[in-house]
Amino acid sequence: MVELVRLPASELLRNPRNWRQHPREQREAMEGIFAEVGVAGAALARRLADGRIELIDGELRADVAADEPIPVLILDVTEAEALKLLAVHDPIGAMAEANEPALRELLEELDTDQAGLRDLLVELSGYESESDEVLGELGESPVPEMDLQPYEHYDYVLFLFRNKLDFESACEQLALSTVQASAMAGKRKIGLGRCLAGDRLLALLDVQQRRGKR
Amino acid sequence: MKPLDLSVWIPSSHRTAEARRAMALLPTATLVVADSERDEYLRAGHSATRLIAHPDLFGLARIRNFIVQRAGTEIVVQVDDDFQSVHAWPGRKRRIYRDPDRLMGIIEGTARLAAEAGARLFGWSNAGKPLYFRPHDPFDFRGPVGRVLGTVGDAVAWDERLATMVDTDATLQELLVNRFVLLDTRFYFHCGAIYGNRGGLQRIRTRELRERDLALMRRKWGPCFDVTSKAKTKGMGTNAIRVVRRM
Repeated sequence: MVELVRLPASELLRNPRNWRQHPREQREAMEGIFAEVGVAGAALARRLADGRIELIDGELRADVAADEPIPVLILDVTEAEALKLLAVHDPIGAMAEANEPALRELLEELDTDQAGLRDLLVELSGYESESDEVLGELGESPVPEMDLQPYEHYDYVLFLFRNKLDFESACEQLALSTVQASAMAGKRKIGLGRCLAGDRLLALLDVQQRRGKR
Repeated sequence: MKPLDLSVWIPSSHRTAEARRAMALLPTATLVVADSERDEYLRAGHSATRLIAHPDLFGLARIRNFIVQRAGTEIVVQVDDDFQSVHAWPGRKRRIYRDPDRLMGIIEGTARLAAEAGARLFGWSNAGKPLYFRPHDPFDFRGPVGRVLGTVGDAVAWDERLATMVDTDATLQELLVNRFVLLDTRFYFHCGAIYGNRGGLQRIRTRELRERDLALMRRKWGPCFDVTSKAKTKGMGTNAIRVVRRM
C-alpha cells in the first residue's frame, strides 16, 4: 500500500479490463447503503506512469458517488498484480459461507427505508415476502424429516491404484466382480472407479478375520 | 464381464446446431425433441434413427420422466443439448476433454460409482471455475444435481407441477427419501453460461413462471431451498440447497 487518499470519484480512471457488471438491483442496494450509512470501504487503485489513478476495485462505488470524494487505497502493484487482484478480489469474498443462525440473528435486528437495500436484506434472509405467509402456515421447518440423522456421516476412503494388477487383485479380495467399460472397447482412457459400501466392507473384513482365526 | 446397462439421452428444443455438437461428442446418445420440432431437426441433418419425439410435453420435468420411462435401461444419463466439453483440473491447468471415448468413460465411471454406492440420482461438478475446484474432495453427496445427470433405476421422478428448477427439486426429493445423491466433482460438464443460451428451457422460462415455481419450491422445501444472488444471472438467481449431509 502506498497511501490512502480521498478523491472525487469522477477523477478516477475506470479499469478497461474490469469484468464486473452491475445490475440495477446491486446499484439500488449500493445507493441505499450510501444514503443510510455513507461510504464504508476504500476503493482499490494504482497510480499509472502518467500520474493518473486507475481503479482496481470500487467501480460501482465510484459511479454512485459521482463527484463526491471517496476514500481510495492506492496500492504499490504492477499491472500484472493489479490484474490478479481484479480477477480474484470479489470471488475470494464470495467464497465465504454463511453462519446461518448468526446471519438470521443479524438480519432480524436490521431495518431500512431504502427499497434497494431492503430487497438485498430480504434476499439474504432466504425468503421473499410472498413466501413468508406460506412458511408461516407450515411452521418454520416444513420438512423436518430432511434433518441429518445421527447415523449419517458420509465419510469415505479412497484407495488409489497405480497399476492394473494391484487394482484387480484388490477388487478380487473385496469381492468386487469384474466390469467392462463398454464405451472404450479395450482402449481405456479414464481410470476405473469402484465403490464398496462401508457396511459391506465391514462384513467382508469380519468374514476374513474369522477365517484367519480358524 | 458385466457391461453397464446404460443409455445416454439429450433432450433438446430449438437448438438444432447445438444438439449436433452434443450428439457428435456423444455418438451413442439419443436425441429427444417435441413432435412439432421433429421436422426442424431432421431438416438440420439429425439422423432419424437417433431421434425420438415426445408428444409436445411442456416443461423439463415431463420430458425427463418421459425419457426415464422410455429408455428401458437400468441407468439413464440425460445431457443438456448445449453440452460442449468436459473440464477437469488434475493439476494447475484446466484440461478439456472432447474425445467421445473419454467422455463416455467419464460418464460410465461415475454411473458405476453411483450404482455401487446406492445413489439413485447422480451428476458432476457445478463449478466451472478452477477457483472452486477442490482436488482433495472429489465427491459431494448433497448436490444439487443438474443439467447433466443420471438416474439408477426408475425410482427418481420429477415433479411435473414444476416447469423450471426441476433438477433442484429432484435432488431435494432424493435427499429426503434416499438421503444422498452422488456428485463426481472431479469433472465439470460445460454447457455454456447458465441462462445464457437461446432455445431449450430458456424459451419457456418467464419471470411469471419462475415466480410460480419459486413459490411452490418454497412451500415444498422451506429453508432447505434457496435462491442465491440475482446479480450474475440476469435477475433470475441460481438455485441452491441447504441440506446438511456430511460432518
